[in-house]
Amino acid sequence: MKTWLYILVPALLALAIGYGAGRHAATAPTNSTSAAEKAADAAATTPDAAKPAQAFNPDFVKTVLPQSRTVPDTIAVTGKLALDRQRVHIAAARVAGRLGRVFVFEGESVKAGQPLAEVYSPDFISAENEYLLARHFRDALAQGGSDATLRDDAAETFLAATNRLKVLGAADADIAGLDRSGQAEQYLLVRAPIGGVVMQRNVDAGGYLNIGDSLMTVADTSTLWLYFNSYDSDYAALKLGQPLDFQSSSLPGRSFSGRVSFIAPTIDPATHTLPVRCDIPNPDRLLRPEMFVSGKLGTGERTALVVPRSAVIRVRDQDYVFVQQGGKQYHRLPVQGHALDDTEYAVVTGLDAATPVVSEGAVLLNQVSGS
Amino acid sequence: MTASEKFVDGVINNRALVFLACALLLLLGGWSFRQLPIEAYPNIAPLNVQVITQWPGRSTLEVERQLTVPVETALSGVPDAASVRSVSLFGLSVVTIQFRDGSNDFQARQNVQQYLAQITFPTGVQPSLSPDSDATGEIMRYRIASDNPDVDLTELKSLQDWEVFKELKSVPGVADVSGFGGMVRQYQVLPDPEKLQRYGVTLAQLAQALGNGNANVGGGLLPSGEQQLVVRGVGLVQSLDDIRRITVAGNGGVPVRVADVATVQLGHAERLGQVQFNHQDDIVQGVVMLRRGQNASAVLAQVREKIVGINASGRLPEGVKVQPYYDRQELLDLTVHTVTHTLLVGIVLVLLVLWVFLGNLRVALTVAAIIPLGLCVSFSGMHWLDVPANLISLGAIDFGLIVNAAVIVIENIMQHLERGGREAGLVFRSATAEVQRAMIFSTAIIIVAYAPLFLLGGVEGRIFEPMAFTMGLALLASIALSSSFVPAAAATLFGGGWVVQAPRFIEWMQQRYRAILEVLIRYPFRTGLVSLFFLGLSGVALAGLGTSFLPTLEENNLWIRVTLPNTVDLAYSAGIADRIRKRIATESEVRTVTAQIGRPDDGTDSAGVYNQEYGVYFKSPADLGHAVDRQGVIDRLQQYFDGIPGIDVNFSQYIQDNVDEALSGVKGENSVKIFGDDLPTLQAKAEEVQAQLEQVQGVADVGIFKELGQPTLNLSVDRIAAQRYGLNVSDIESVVLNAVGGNAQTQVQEGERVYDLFLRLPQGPRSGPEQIARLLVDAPDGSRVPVSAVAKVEVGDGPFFVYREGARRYIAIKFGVRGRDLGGAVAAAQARVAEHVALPRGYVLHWDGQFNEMKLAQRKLGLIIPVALAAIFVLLVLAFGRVRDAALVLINVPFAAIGGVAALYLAHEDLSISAGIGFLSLFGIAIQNLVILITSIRELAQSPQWQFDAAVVEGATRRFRSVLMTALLAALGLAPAAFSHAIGSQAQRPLALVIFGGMLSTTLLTLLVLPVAFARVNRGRGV
Repeated sequence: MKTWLYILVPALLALAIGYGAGRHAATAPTNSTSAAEKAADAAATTPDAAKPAQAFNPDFVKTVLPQSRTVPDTIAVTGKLALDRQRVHIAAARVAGRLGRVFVFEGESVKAGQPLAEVYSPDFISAENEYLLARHFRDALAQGGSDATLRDDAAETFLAATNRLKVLGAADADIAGLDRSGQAEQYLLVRAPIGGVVMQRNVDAGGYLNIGDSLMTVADTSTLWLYFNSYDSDYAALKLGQPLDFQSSSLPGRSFSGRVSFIAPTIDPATHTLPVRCDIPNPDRLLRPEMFVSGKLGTGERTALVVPRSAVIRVRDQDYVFVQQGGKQYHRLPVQGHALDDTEYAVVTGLDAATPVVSEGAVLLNQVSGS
Repeated sequence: MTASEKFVDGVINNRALVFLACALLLLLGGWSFRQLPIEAYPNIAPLNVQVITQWPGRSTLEVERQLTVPVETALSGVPDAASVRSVSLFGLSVVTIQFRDGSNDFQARQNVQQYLAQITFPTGVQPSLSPDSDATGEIMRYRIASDNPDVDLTELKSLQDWEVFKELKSVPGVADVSGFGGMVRQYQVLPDPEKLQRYGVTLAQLAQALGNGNANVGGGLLPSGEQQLVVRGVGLVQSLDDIRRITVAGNGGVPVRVADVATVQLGHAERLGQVQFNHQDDIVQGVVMLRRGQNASAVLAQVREKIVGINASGRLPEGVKVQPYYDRQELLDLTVHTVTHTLLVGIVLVLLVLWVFLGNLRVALTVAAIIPLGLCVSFSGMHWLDVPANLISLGAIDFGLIVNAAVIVIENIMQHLERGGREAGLVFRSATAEVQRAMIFSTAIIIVAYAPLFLLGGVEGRIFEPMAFTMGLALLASIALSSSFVPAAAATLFGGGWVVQAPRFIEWMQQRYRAILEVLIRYPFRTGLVSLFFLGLSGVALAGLGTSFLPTLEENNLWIRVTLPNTVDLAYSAGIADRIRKRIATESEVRTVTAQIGRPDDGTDSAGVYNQEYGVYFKSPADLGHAVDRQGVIDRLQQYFDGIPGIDVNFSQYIQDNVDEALSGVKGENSVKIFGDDLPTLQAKAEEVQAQLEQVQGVADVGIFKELGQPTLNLSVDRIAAQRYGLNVSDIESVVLNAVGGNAQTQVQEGERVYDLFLRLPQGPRSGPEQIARLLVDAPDGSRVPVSAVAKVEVGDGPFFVYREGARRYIAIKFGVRGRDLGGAVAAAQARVAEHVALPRGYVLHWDGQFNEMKLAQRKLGLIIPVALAAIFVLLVLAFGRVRDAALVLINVPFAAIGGVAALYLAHEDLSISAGIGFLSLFGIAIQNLVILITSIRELAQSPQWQFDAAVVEGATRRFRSVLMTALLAALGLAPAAFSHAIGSQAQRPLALVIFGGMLSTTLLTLLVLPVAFARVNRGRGV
């Protein structure tokens, strides 16, 4: 038994010594390399600094200089066109009577003073007769060379009769016609108060009008109002006179503009929004009331550095861009701004116009320095 | 006459019967081999069943809470489940149940189905099980190629989904056909918010109208005289115009139709992924998956036939065809070719050695006949026991070992014949009987040495069990054949009273040997010292060896996984992939390159669009004229990838990648998992671990499987504000659902194809957080309120993924090991992380992956090997009848390893499990030779006419040829495998190297050291 122990013990010893020596040789250089690696790692992980620029493939990391531009601040709005209430007039009956012919109907364009309808009114006829009588009386007195006081009274009476005709709605032309003919007209012409479009006709021919009854509504559409509702987040930015650019899906390809002319003093209880009104010039009469439109309200403008949208990285609630500094290093900078459209982003603060910005591959660089 | 002599007599007298049995065996073996499925790579992944639940548009947390957790809870009690892992991500929940070894896949899937039935899912959500395929099951990839400009991607995708899919899935043995790429056709209704407002129509009304305007009903039967009519209400929409004409509301007698408030168009569903192929940046691809346990070659042949049929049938439009670009058969052919080649060369070498040493071709052929006969027993046994053959198991067959038993017997017969003097019949009997005991014991010892392979279990077990079967059965057969076929054949051959003459050079060598031994026997200590020196040297080499789990099987392709930052969108990812793909295509060895971005529509792969996988298929070595310089390609590409910041690159191979993924549960090789509940804490700790891992030498490609960082637009309902408007949460949520996310309202049928009718706002009004904040919610009183008035709209940080295992969340940090052995690197990393990273209470750290398997295997081997050694020792004691000699043999065994270690060291191979098995075989052969030698010496020493020392020398010399032959046979049988570098040789090489190198030291040990040691130990103590 003892003899084979002589073999076993040295065999195990030799194996152990050999293995130990081998292990030592294998691990000895390990420590030095890992130390070197550590040093390299430390160099690479200086705050927010990525690898040297040359190391990156230009196919994947591109830079561009930001453009300094004036960019508008805008609020997107959707609204509805309405008549300019200041340019809506009612052609009303100033005298009670029966409606004779109606000359114009809804939708027709009329000029100011254009006859709209005729009214048979006993009051008007008697006023006409009064006028003719007063004129006759005045003329007779003037020929007779009578008493000056009497002449003055006659002139006064004539003037009063003329005024009465005017109050009843007769135009100067009507009075001139009366003068010429010397015959009382059966019908009083109701004329358009303003040039515009007949929006509404309330009474049909043959109907009876009382004093003050609305016969027709005439609206001038050369200027329209645009109402939009603004939400509470935008109240603070709203000011009178702010420009609005908008489009309507009914008129594709056309763009229109106007200005804020009124901001409601109270919140609309039905929608809990603040109605805002804009004056919209409509010289071509292309826009129609009740059209739905969408547009952008310019709430201001500022100078900003415009960069491609792809340059901006969003991490949680903060936007960042990467800038190239010294030709070798990339740094991540937090910026404030907003997207102009699908391709551009306006940086308001946080960037310097002379620094090249990474326009492509920012998301890749972010992975390097982000964590 | 002893029992064994009687047996040999019986065999010789009935040799016709023996030969008939052998012929039958050949037939049976050949038939079995044809039936045997051959796998390139053994399926080492355990049985997995995945429950895939898609819920389009839902955020990760929503998916986790409402899908993953209920599924996990329900499945926690499934019988035989070993672990339950899950991943939840945007719109997809995947729960993976891993089953214990030996579970029946059919039963497992049935059980999962049954347990799933208990869960109530949200409306419209339907779980599905992953295809019944394993990690090596992706046997073919094809694309739907089109040179017809009228057929767009959406149409190609439809063809894949509705035509090709059906056809290929019907092939027996195909588990599933998974489509990837292209776009799923969708009927889209894009309402215009302004128009909705103008017509006073709400989104909800529109959604309802779409559903109501599309239905067929059955009206039963209508008797009509003696006949009956079937009543059918036909209202299914057939075209875009039908949809446009659906009435949404009556507005004072004027119907508001869909066309009045919305654009109706044909579009495609939101894409989750894209596939690029060579110069094309968008293709439709399909993957054919093999059903578990099917024969890949047989199924592939049918699939190919089916594809030819589809292309010829005219079911696809003009110019469109199915074009396979990856076929597993190519790899199988390549590897089988390599293995066949090395095996054939091995057989030839074996034959040559036999011929040279025995000096007789007929005898050599007789011995060589043992090889096919032995293998036939193996194949029949494997077929019988349903053990599939794989290239590792076939490649590991050592013919030398199989013929050893026969060599021992025939060599003894030849020796007796050479010495002559006796009657031939007696010679066969006595010569066979003389070595029979030693032969049976020594071969049994080799089988015992292989026994650990049967007991390994787990992944290693799955790999090496077939090999253990093959060898074990072949060795058993060789024992039986050596006692029956060999003497019978010898009797037939030499029956005519041949004069047998040993070759001259043998006699010359024996004389030299005798002289050397006579000298050595006088200097036992010096001999011992020299061998101890070499043992020490091998210890040095052993320390320098790396350890790895499995040798990598060359697949002639590269699978590159590139991970971009998680927040990228599909278009950007595709743009990057486009450039990388074109760069890869410039490599001259590349035949085809594909890029897969994101995930397929069926959810079988849980990844986002940031995940890119490049399939790089090399030209075949035959076309190329040389083997592919894979490392060179990797190095050049790595250099290119280094120029792209912020990406993570992982090189693997196609099958290997799938297997690794199935093993680890996380994409990548090895990983550290931190378990805990709070995602931000997990993330922070993972970053700490990552920083530590990067400091460890040899650890490369460290990356966190980031869970957080998904920019999320949160619309949190302000209940008080909502109350003011009389709004409910659901009113606001329906805007998020219908307007922002979009929702399938109903389906449109086009013949057999079914497409979704989708309602969603057009891009403009939902293009950004500001726009979404301005979307209007319809209040019950008819007023419209912007989302911002009733909900807080803010961009936050949500999780991309939630990984869970054992019903707990975890975060994984993956890492690879390069330029250092796996075991050492992981040990160093573990020590470093344990020292520097402190985890909060309730958080646990776990190391996982290939390395874990290796450790487990090593632990098992640590238990099994002593048991096997003990068994061998018992066998030795039985063989020798005393402990002293048995111990002597066992102590000598480590010396046999010297050459194996040296060979590994010189060839820069790692100490893998494959090499370990080589050592097992080596020890077996060493013991076999030692037993034969000692038996021979002791026989002589017992007879009084021999002096002790002379008996030792003579006994050793008599077995000189036998020992030399068995060693040479074992070594040369595997020599081709040891030196081959062709595709398919990788798995065999470590094993072959160990045996080849080890044989050299073993032979020296057996012939020179053992007799000396035997003489020293036994001198003067009687034998």
